[in-house]
Amino acid sequence: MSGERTISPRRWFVAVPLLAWKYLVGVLFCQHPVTAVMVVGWTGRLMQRRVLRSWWQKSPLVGQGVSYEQFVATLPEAHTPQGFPNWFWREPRLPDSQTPSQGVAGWAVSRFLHRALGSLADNIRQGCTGALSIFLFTLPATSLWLCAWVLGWNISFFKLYEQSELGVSLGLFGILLFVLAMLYVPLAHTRQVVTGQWRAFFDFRFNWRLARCNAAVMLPVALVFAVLSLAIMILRIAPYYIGTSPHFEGFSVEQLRQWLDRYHLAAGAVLLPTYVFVWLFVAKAYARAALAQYTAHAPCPSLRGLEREALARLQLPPRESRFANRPILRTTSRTCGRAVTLALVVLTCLGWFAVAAELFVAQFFNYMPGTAWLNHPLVLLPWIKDIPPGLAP
Amino acid sequence: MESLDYRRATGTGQSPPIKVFWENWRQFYGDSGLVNPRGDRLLTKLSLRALKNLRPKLMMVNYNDCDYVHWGNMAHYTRGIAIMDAGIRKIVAAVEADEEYRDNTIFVIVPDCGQDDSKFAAVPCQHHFNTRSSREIFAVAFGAGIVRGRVIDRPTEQMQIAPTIGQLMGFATKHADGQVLEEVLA
Repeated sequence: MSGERTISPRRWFVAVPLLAWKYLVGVLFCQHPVTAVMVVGWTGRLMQRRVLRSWWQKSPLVGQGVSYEQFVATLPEAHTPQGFPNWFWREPRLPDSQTPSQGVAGWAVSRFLHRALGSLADNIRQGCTGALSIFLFTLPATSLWLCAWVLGWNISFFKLYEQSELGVSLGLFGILLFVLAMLYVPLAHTRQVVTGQWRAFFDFRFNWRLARCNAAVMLPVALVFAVLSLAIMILRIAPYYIGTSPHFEGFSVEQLRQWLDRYHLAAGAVLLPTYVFVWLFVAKAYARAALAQYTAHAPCPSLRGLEREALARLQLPPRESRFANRPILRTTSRTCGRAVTLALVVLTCLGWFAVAAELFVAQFFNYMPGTAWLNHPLVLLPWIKDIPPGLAP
Repeated sequence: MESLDYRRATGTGQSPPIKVFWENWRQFYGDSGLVNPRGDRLLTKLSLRALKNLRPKLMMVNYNDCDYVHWGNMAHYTRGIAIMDAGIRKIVAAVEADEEYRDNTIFVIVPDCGQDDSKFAAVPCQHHFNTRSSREIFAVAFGAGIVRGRVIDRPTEQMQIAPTIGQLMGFATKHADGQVLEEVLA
């Protein structure tokens, strides 16, 4: 296949340390919520590449000898890197949009800055818009969790038992809202990062149709989140139990904080690949779902920007209905399909319920104030580091 | 422990004075639980009422507002301590004001539990993970046979309270594992 590049041993010699550098920077960025926003953007750019590559692999272009690089070069808005995106320096193959309109010296400085910080700017832009969209959608649910938690302990302390249902009800209602939000958010976020358009996240009708018509790909997404967030929650609660060890007797506050910093650095080394994996999994699910939607309804006017451009260039044949001339089979298939879809949606809801339940259980095993409710580390910001108030500098 | 409870073994349940005590309580506060004080204020109110009506020779108060902080609001812990402080002051004042109780009755006041000593807890009030410190509590003891004004500022075993009370009251505590806390005895 002409699109597959063979990598020489010399290139590996450069690629491996470069990958290690990107990984290390990513782990460091997972240590603070502000820098974790850049991890969201970086992962979004990786997701864009994953989606475009997945579409290219399924197109007749591959058979025609069109490489992935050639395919991407035809896309007017593609700022997608060829491999793992850079954190700071602009990827060399990406177009340089600067023109010498400010004089030669000004242009040189501008061009240097554009190259030196181009990826950083992309990561921040993608990260801020992506994280903000997810935050807005999950906030009603997560703020209800926070209220339920605070209210629950107040009811417990003040013995307001006649109001005890209030805390539980708020918590359950929050979980319901979270499940509903998460039926929508993964594909909507992926559309946003692929198109590079914020509005794509809020195409409610199309995004919902995409999720509803592809229930079979949404179930594995929910299950992957549920299984991997369990591992992340264990990482999150572990410090409390480790902290009861006699090993820490006599440690100063500074020494305890240093130990916790090292722990969270190690936890970040697990969190980063887990976060990237789950969202690349979502990207793959989105690629399948959008492709199915496009081939069934081409030219599919609801598609946006890069998404529309890329799919239009793939030369994909329209998908014929298997039962186009068989009305009885078509009706039967549609009825069975609805039943199966309903069952898949119910199972998907259970998967997201498990994700929410894991967060509640984790809070009961090691409580982290406020932010732990508002931020699920695999859904929003890949960040679990929380320094207890007693150890804060 | 249930097998050792004589009330279960004999089927006698509460003694007549206790039954009268609760009947009077219900007559005053009703059955709803909405009128009477709650939490440790309730325990203080019950203690004062018991002092007045039951005339006990031993009173042990097990305050537990601090128990209910867990992972909640840290300010509740100090609030719980303040409620406990106010309760102890009222009980001591009631005892001092009553000639019959002064140097004649034993009072032991303890909180429900200690705290886990994890170094990495955001709210250090949890105590459900069976750490040693979750069983370390303070105790206030005063009354007949107890030395006045002495502070024992060293870790002692919680299970020393039962044999110490037995020693003070003059009954055997054969099921208690701890040793008598000698510094308490006058």
